[in-house]
Amino acid sequence: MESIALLLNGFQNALSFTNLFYCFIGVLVGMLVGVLPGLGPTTATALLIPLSFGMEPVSAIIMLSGIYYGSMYGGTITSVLINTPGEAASVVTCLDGYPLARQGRAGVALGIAGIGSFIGGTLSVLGLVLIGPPLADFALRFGPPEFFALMVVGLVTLVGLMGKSVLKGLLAAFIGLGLALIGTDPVNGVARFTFGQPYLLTGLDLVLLAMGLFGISEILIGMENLTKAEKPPKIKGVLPRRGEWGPSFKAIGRGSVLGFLIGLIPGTNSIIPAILSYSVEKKVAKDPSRFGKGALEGVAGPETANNAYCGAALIPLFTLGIPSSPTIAVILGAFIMHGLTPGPTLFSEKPDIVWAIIASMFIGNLLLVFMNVPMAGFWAKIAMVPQKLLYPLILAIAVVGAYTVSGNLWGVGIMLVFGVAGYFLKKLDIPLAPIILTFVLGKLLEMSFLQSLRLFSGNAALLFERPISVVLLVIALLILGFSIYGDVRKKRRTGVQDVEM
Amino acid sequence: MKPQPAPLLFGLAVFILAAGMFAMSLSMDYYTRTGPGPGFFPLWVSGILGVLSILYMIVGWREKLEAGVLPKGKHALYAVSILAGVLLFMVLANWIGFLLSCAVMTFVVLCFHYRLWVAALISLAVAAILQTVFELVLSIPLPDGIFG
Repeated sequence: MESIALLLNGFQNALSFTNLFYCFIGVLVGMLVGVLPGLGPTTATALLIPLSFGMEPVSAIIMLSGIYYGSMYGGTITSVLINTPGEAASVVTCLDGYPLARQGRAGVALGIAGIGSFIGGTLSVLGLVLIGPPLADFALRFGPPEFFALMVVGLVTLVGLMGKSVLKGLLAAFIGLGLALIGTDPVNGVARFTFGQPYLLTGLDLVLLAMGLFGISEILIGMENLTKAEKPPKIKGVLPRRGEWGPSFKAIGRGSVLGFLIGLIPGTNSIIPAILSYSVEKKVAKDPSRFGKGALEGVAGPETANNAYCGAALIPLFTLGIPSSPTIAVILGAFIMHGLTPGPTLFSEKPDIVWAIIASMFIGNLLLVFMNVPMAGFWAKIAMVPQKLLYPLILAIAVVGAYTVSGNLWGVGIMLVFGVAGYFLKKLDIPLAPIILTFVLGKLLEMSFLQSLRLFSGNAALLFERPISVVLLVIALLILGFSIYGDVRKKRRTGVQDVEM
Repeated sequence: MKPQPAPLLFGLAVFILAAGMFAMSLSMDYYTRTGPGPGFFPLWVSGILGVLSILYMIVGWREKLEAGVLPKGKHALYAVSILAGVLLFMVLANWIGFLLSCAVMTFVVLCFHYRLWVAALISLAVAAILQTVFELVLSIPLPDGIFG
């Protein structure tokens, strides 16, 4: 009951003109990012952080969160209309969405995707409302040992699932940890690896790192492989036939549950629930042979799942302060920049801000339905912007953003260096997500570990004597063990890709 | 496919970085009176990173890359134009100001894909729009230079 009252208060805050405006901007940019191939929500969020400096914290987070879940809607449009996923989670939508478009039923595919996305997104935010506060209350019992163990689980899950090789995942994770050590030691206050440079005393900036590793590297790779978008077909009629409503809603229901549960697991990303949902729909269908030829459930299920994933993926961030994906890691950076500390105390110390953000997500999902379905043709035209024009525009925005974040050209140089590094890492198939996640968590990890050691007078084995931390550490060991086993047996065919970039 | 040297070179680069970090960590306190010192975490992280980089070099040497890591031909030119554009911006920004330096950067990237006058026009428009948005709308200062 208290949550409902706080949520209503949050709506009052979120429905202010300023917050509504920024919510609209966020979902609009998210749609744009989703429609445009080559630009992912991580890069877009990092690019917009400099623009949020002058905003109120709640408005800034509302806008940046809007980019995240808005991009899931946008990616559907180009998947259906021109068989080009604008965003990685919409890859699966191409399988049945494009055949539907070729049958003259593009509008129906987009319509059911929009409805499913809205239902999935709204249900997952509802889950955040119901689960968030009790989980945050539970997490208040966490001390440094429990936080350390939780972060280890998050990182191991990420490394274990990431890419095709545990070794590459671990290498990326430790590169990120190494980068996090640059700057002032959080416990002893000693400068480390700064080479006497004052700019490095506060460490590397997350936004510069993200823009470089993901944005600049994507521009470099994109300009190597320029492609042309084909002309999208016309859209007529957006609602399914009477007999299709039942199976579609069942697919939406299953997709919502699947997406929500997977979103709770750190280290996953939006493509996993989409793929799993498609597999489930194909398995439970009366006639699986329809899949791949225009089965509406093949669009409804995955699109619902990837949107349901988004709301759930914010739960670890809001309640535990643990980002579960690179985009959320950048959003975490935004929280910190605006003086907010995500985690269990956020609900108790800043309830008005948290609930306003949650309420804005309901509003944002509603805005997206109205922007998505009737305006699909317009969005599809945007996808036809030539990449040879788009990438230089993004480069210019990134450079300005980097200058703004650091206040000098040093930041631009840092972004460029990491851009080149990201380019080579991508070419070598080394995942970038572990780098950014361990970079974000590195200082927290070090602080909680050192605090734990001080608590235990230097005896790290005592971590295994605290019930919550021992359970979490055993889970981490099991996940790592299974991942290495799978790697050794070469059963890893596809892993989680760097798909949010 | 022949083994590619790129993974080996990358592994070696990471190993050198890890070794450097490890050496610098040795000069910091590993332990203090109150507990682990500033050198504790860096020593372990750089040590593990060094081991991982050696493993990667061993495993990565045989990695079959679908294509070479470095671009060739016109693709190399496009990539170099991006790097050159940003470097030019960094050199010129504090001298000639944001508007012109951003225009130069964008022009260097666009000139291989559009006619020169079209590339110049687009570059100036992009720089002007960005300057308007950041300086006038958001009140975020950009490099002034002698031209502003």
